[in-house]
Amino acid sequence: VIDAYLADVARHLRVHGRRRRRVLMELEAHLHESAERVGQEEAIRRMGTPEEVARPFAPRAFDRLFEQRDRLAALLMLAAMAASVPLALELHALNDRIGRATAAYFAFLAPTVVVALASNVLVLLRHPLGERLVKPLAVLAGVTAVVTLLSLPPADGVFTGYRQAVAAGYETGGCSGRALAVCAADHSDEIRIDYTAGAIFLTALYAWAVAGWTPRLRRRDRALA
Amino acid sequence: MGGAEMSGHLDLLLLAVLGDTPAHGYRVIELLRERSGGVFDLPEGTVYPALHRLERAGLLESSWDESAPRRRRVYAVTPTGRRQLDGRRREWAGFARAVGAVIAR
Repeated sequence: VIDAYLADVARHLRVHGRRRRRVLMELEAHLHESAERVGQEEAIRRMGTPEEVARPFAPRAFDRLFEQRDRLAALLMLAAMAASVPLALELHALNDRIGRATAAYFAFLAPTVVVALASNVLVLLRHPLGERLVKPLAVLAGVTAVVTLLSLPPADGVFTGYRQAVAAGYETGGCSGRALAVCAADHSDEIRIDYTAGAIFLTALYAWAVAGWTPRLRRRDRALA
Repeated sequence: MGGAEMSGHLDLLLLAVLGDTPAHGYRVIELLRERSGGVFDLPEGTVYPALHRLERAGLLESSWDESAPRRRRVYAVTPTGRRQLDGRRREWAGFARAVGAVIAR
């Protein structure tokens, strides 16, 4: 009786692969345990009809997406870090052209990057340490943002070097029709402010998605009705 | 009280039951029934989708228990789930106080 019931549930079940096997194994274990106490017929009656049992397992697309928000945020942060590598290389190259070292600034950024990478990878693997690294990451990102926005050392040296290199004509992209010194200052401010704002937004989004506010599941509660 | 009446409260009830002790689905249903004095007697099939949903939301975690005669999935509340449980307990207490104050004579 239980096998026939489970076959009927399986026919209505709209999930696949490992999850499907897990659902059926759990239901089977439940039914056998219940049947030992109340008999097979009563165990099946208490479980509900196969359609009723199978239907709620079918996930809604938005819910699935929302439940993966931590992983999506981790991927977004990894993509943003990868996308900022060319800028870092450009800053380094331009500073190098005028003989200014960038090691101190990149060493300053390194802990934030390392913690972010570790947290992102661990969150993708759903390891609990990934969530625990969010708070240190937020602190490091906050300190980095303040130092960069206020042009405090060691950020000031890199951006001063960038401005000097652009003003000296080592990089003239987007400067046509403007004095190089003005263009250099504009670009430097854009990089400093835009990238810092982006980093703050991304860190806040990541903190929310991974460790912060948890939805009250109202939509999903309604689905149980 | 069946599934429809418990709609909207099932997540909190499951978190509360599992907040005290990890348990497998059948035991969760037993605990719900016992702790409610038999009032919460929901269709048992509704519990598993809810447990899976809470797990996907990161509020529960689960693993197979191989020690029992029959292999079964045991659920436990995660740290995120515990924070959610604490928050919803406070909300519920406030709500119950407010309703009590309104309907009391």
